[in-house]
Parts: sequence; structure tokens; C-alpha cells
Amino acid sequence: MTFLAARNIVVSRSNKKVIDNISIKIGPGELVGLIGPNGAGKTTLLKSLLGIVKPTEGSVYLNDMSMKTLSRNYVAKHLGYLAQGAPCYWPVTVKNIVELGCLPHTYDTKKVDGFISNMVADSMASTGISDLQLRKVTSLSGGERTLTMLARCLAGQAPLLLADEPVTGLDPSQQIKIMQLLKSQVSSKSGVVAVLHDLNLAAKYCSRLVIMAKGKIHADGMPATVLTAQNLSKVYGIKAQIRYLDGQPIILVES
Amino acid sequence: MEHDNKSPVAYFPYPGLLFLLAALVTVLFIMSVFWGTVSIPAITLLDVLFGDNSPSAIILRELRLPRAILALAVGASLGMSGAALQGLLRNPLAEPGLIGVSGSAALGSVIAFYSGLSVTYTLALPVGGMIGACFSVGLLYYLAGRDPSILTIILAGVAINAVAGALTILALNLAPNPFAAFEVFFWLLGSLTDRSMKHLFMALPFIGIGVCFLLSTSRGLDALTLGEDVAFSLGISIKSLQARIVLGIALAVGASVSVAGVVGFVGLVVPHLLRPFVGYRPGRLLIPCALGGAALTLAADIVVRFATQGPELQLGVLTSLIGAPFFLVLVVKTRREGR
Amino acid sequence: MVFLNSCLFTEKIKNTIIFVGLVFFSSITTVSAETNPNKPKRIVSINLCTDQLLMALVETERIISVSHLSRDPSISSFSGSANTLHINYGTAEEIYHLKPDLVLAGEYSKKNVVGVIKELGLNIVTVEVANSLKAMRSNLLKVAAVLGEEAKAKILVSKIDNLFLSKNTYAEKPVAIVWRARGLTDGRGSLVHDLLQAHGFRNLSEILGRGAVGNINLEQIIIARPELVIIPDPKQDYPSLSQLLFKHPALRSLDRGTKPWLRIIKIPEWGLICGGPQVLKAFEVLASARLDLLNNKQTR
Repeated sequence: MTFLAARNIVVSRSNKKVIDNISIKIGPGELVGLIGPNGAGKTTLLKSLLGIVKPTEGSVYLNDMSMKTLSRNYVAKHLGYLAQGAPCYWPVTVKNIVELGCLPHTYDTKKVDGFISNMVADSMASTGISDLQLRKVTSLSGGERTLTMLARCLAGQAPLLLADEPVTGLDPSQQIKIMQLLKSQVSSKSGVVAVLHDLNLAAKYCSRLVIMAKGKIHADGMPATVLTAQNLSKVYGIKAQIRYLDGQPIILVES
Repeated sequence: MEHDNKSPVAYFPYPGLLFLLAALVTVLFIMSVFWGTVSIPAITLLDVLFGDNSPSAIILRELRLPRAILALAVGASLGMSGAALQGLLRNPLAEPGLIGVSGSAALGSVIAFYSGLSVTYTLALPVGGMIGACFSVGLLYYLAGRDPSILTIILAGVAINAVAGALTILALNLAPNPFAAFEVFFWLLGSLTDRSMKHLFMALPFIGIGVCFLLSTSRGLDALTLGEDVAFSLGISIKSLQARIVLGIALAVGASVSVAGVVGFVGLVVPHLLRPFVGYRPGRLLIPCALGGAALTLAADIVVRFATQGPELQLGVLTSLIGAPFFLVLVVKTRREGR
Repeated sequence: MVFLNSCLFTEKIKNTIIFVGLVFFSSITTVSAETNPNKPKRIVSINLCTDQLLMALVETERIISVSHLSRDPSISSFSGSANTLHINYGTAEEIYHLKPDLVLAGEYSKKNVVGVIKELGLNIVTVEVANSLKAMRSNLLKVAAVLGEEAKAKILVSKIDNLFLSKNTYAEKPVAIVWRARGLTDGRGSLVHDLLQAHGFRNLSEILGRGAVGNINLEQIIIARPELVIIPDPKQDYPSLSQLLFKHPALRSLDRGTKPWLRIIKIPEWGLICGGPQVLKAFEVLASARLDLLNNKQTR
């Protein structure tokens, strides 16, 4: 069981508090949606939880051990990162990218010989990109690239997956496919945190929503609890109506 | 960046590539030792082994052999440094001269020489070059700050090159030797002519250490394909990676420049040519580029012996004549592909 | 009154004729200075080589200025004297202010400066580069005539004539070469070539087919194995990249021991730059070197 926690972290940049005293706990068994307006600090919070951004005050704890004391390899084995825009700087093949996900495991001599190639094949199969494995990543569509990066994360077998806007700008069918894949990753041993912009997608797939505004957590709980017209108006400055369809909240934004 | 989705060269087997390049280097090395303005019979090799002092043996042992080994080492340094730098900066237009190493090494060598240090200690020249290169690395870290980003490194490199160039000219003006500017003009253009075993023994250890540093970055460079943040999340320490690359380049290129002058564009041309053969994977590019750089430099060094009737053509001039148009084509191509 | 006037008038005419005659006469002298019996007393030289000629032939009282290069002991054999003289940087303005009655320039002095000096009406004589002993001889005579020092020149000319004569008196002629920075050598048609032959050597540069200015690299020297390699010795003690070539272990290893494969001797750099009388002095060392070589051959 892997637990990730931030305790009273503050992240300041040029005297401005991007993250203002946040405490949050992430664990397996849930798909957490991190929502909020632009500039709320969602990406920064995600990066702080991953250890990419060092908090100015406070600490992040992985399995109750401070990130500062942990080796990069230990963190890499427990946390997976899907970056915004699925960046890839060289035209390498899909298979190469997925193989990169196994980097944290390359020095583990205890693992069986075919371990990496098995992991790569399995994760490509579960994301449905096995046919694309010899294609150059730079020639793929946005959705295919995200699937590739997702396969990469899966190949690394990290129990907690942190995704930054995984479905932004993708076609609806791609969005649904990816959200379904993310949801399928949730189990008793693994969890997902995703930064999302689409409130309806967030409402539909996430078991827990965290709304951020101005560097603080505004609300944290089940979608039904968190998605109220009041919260939305305060955080986004919009007037919204919440309807329910089959027990799922649907947000209709009024002009 | 690429024209088709399934380019056949992506399937080129890695061991096969290494073998071919190694074979090419071996052939060129043998040619370099036995070809020259004076023809040496192959039997002389035995003379060399038995310590004979016939003129042919002396030429082989004291002139050809150090020259060929230096060409190999310098070429390997430049090729691998170019590949590493392009992997780090994720830009195919990067070159070791870019981060100011060549310029600072040249400055260090010029100061060591014209101050008279190398009169007392002949080897002060290479040492000065490496100190100059290391100094540029230190300055680079200072300018780039605690959290070095790629853009800052490039800008710092431009600044260092400008300062090093100006200080070199100043040093030449202040030198007591009135012919200093004339003499060093040829040296700066890059040359392996009339180098001796001494140069070899001084430069080779540092080139070796630098190459080792660079080889250790292979995995990190592959991870950098996904960007710094993702690479970090995969367990790669970006700072350590940058430090090893910059230090490795400073040592390898610094030592090379101090002995051979500025031989440009090898670190640009070779990675670009070999990249498709390794499937564009930056980590895999390191060793092939070392071999490719060695091959290119050996070949160029053979050509300069026969290009002109009089004094030999400068090695750096030849590599620039090949490399500069290549660079321009690359710039046009890159712009057209909108990267 | 009329008589007085006519006398004065005649006087005037006479003076005018004399004056015109003088002007005419002096204009003739600027064209053909050789016939001028008056030695020039304010001489300026703007070229290193003409400096050397000048200082060899003329006492310093008549020299107003020499080029700044003459103070460098590595390239000037008269640097001691030059230190007490005024130096110039070869600009027309400088020279004009010195008010010389003779300016000496070299063949490769800046053409625009020479042109301006001529236009300013100063007496300027250009001396060509000497690329043979013959040329050195004629240069000496020409400059000596201009300077009014034919007597001094005669001594030097006789030295040159002796060298001409001795050329064919040698039975054994070892092979030598003058080897400059970057491998430059002087083959047939150069002053160095004449001097080598005059001192009883064969010139390797000519043997290898090089022209007046040629190139031989280290490998070729080693294979050709001349018995004597003459390299420039900068008297000044500053670091020089070109000197590194002459210190190469390959060359040094052949110069070592009781049985050297070749011998290296040094000639001051000022003996290899200009074709003046100082060159004769510098090359005198070849005579003893040749004898040493021949003696060593016999004892080997």
C-alpha cells in the first residue's frame, strides 16, 4: 500500500504563494480529480507531490517518509507521472517510449530476464496500442500519444499514477477511452490523481474531487458533495445548475 | 524531424552498427599511419617493435603513430560530446563549441604558452587548455544558477565564448612575441601536424575521464526524451546528469582543443548522420558518435596531408568547409519542419 | 643711371640664371641621385632591411630615423644602435616632419606611403629584395652610391666576390638545408641557396625540387637526412609556436649522440630575413660547421 501526503506545504515563486499551506493525502483505491481554474496551482501541487518541485515550507511524505530523505529510484518505483502535453523530443518508436517506463527497474538484478519486455508488451496491450509499437511517436495523434505515455507509466508498475491534464484537447472518444483506462487502474493497491478541466468528465469518472483555488484547497470529497452551485460559483465565478442522471451529477453552465 | 513513419533505418541492428564503425575506424587508422607525404614500407612496423632507430621507424613511432592516435581520440571526444550535448539540450543544432568550452580551452592554451610557462614546462600548453575549459564550466554553473535550465546554459555559453574570444586577442596583443597573432592564427584553426607522444600522454588521460563521464549519461539522455520533469519522475537526477555531461565535455573537448586547436563541426555532423541509425535514441548515439567522430577526424587528417603542395591545410579549415554548409542546410531543414 | 640700372639688370639676370640653374640642377639630382657629390645628411629609413643596409654603411650622426622593427634584437643585427636612434612607424606624416634629404624604402613598403612621400617632393629611393648574391651585391653598390659611401661598400662587395669565387673550390659538398618556421625553405633562385653553395654545401631544397620559396615537412626532412639542418634562432627569449617544430622529439632524436644522423645548427633570425651584409656575418658559421661534418665523417 502506497500513501502520498503533503503536510502544510507552501510553494512560493517570486514572493507569490502558488501553493498556500496545503495538506492532502492520496492513497490507493481512488481516482482523484484535481480541478480548479487556471492558475489555481493544480500543476504545481501535482509536481510537488511528485518531488519535482520542492516546497518552500512543509514537506511531502511518501509512505510516511519525507521525500527529502528518499532516493530518486524509490520514488520513481512508487509514483508514475503523465506530463501535460505528453512531451517527446525525439522521433523514437512507441515501443522505445514504453520501455523507458521501466527505467526505475533496470538495476534490479533479482527480476527475471524477460521482465521488461513482458511489462512493455502487457502495458501496450492494455492500452490497445500494440499495433502502433513501431510507429514514431511524433507521427501519432494526440490521443495515441497520451495512450503511449500511459502505457509507459503502466510499464513502470508504479502504484500511484499522477496525470496532468491527460485528456485536455483530445477528441471525446479518446477522452472517454483514457478516462476509462485510468479508472481501470484503480484497485486496492493502486490509485490515480488526474488534473482535469472538464467538470463533467471529472464528475463521471472520479471517486473523489479536490477543488483548488488561488493555491488553496477549496473542497475535498465525493463529487456529489463537492460539486455544488455555490462552490462552482465561488471558485470558477460561473453560474451552474447541477442535474442528476442515473445518480451522476451533470453540470450545466449558464451564460 | 523524420519523413516517414516506419523508416527502415530504425531497424538497423546496434551491434552491427558498432562493428561497421569500428571497422571503418581501424581501416582509417592504418591508412593514417602508413600514408603520408613520405611512403613508409609496412616492414617498418617490425623495426618499430624492435626499437630500431632508422628514419622510417622514427617517423612511424614519433610522428605517424601519435598523430593517428590523437586524431582518433580528438575525433571520439568531439563526436561523443556533440551527441551528449544535443541529447542534453534536446536540440540537433547544439555543438561543444556552443557552451564555450572550445573558446575557453583556446584561451587557456594561449595564455599558458605566451606567458612563457610552456618554455619551462613543455606540457603547460595542454594543461592550460584544460584549466581554461574547466574554468568555463565553473563559470557556466555560476551563471546558470542553482537550477540550470537549457536556455540559461546556451546563453551562458554564448557569453563565455564572446569573453574568451576577446581575452584571447588581448593576450596575443600583450604577448612579447611580435609574431604571436600570426603564429596562433594557424594553431587556432586546428591541426594535428607534428604532434608528439608528449601531447598524447598529456591529453589522453583527460579525454579518457571525460569520455567515461559522458558514457555514464546514456540512460539519463534516453529519459530526457520525455522532458526534464518526466525524466526526474523516472528516477534520473537532472542536476547530476547535467553536471556529468558538462564536466565530461569540458575535459574531453578541453584536452582535445589544447592539443589540436579548434576542430569544429565534428560534434555537429557526426551525430546528425548517425542519429537515424540508432532510432533517434540519444543514449545509444554516444558510442557510435565516438567511433564516427574518430573516423571523420582520421579521414580529414589524411586528406589535409595531400590537399596542398605547401604547408598542410589546417584540419579545422577542412572540417569547417564540410561542416558549415552542412549546418546551414540543417538550419533550413529544421525551420521548415517547424520545430 | 642707365648704366647703373643696366649693371643691376645684368646682375639680376645673372642671379636669375644662377637660381634657375640651381633649381634645374637640383631637380636633376632628385632624378639621378647617383651623380650628387654631396652626401645626404638627414637620412630616414622606413624598412627593416634598408635600416640594416643604412646602419652598415653610414655613421649614426647622419641617420635621423629608422623603422621601429630595428630595435627588436631577434630580427635586427643593429638593435643596439637602433636603441639610440629615433624610430618611425612608416607613416608619411612622421617622415615629412623629420625633414629628411633622403628616404630609404623597401620593395614591399606600403605603396601608398611611398606615393605620398614622392608627392611631397622628398627624395626617396626604393631598394629591392635581394634574392641572390648578385642582387645583394648590386643593392649594396646602388645604396652606397646614393649614400655616398662607395668606399665602405667596396669592402663588403669584395667579401661577396670571394664567396662567388670559392663556390667551385670545394671537393666534398655535404647536404644542408635552411629550415624556417612552418617548414618553409629556400630553393634554387634564393639568396640562401647561393650562400649555401658559396659555403660548400648542396641545398636539399633544390635537390627535392623546391622553388625559391618552398615547403618541406618534418617527415621529408627525416627521410632525406640532410647532414646539416639550419634553423632560425630568435635571440629574444619569448615563447614561439614556430620554435616548437624544431624541438620535436623526432628531429631531436636524430641529432643526438656520438653518431648523430644529422646535425642542427642555429643562425640568428636576422640572418635569414633581409639580404644585407649582416647575412654574410650570420652565415660565416657554416664554414666551421662544414669542417666539423667532414672531420666526423672521417672518424666514424
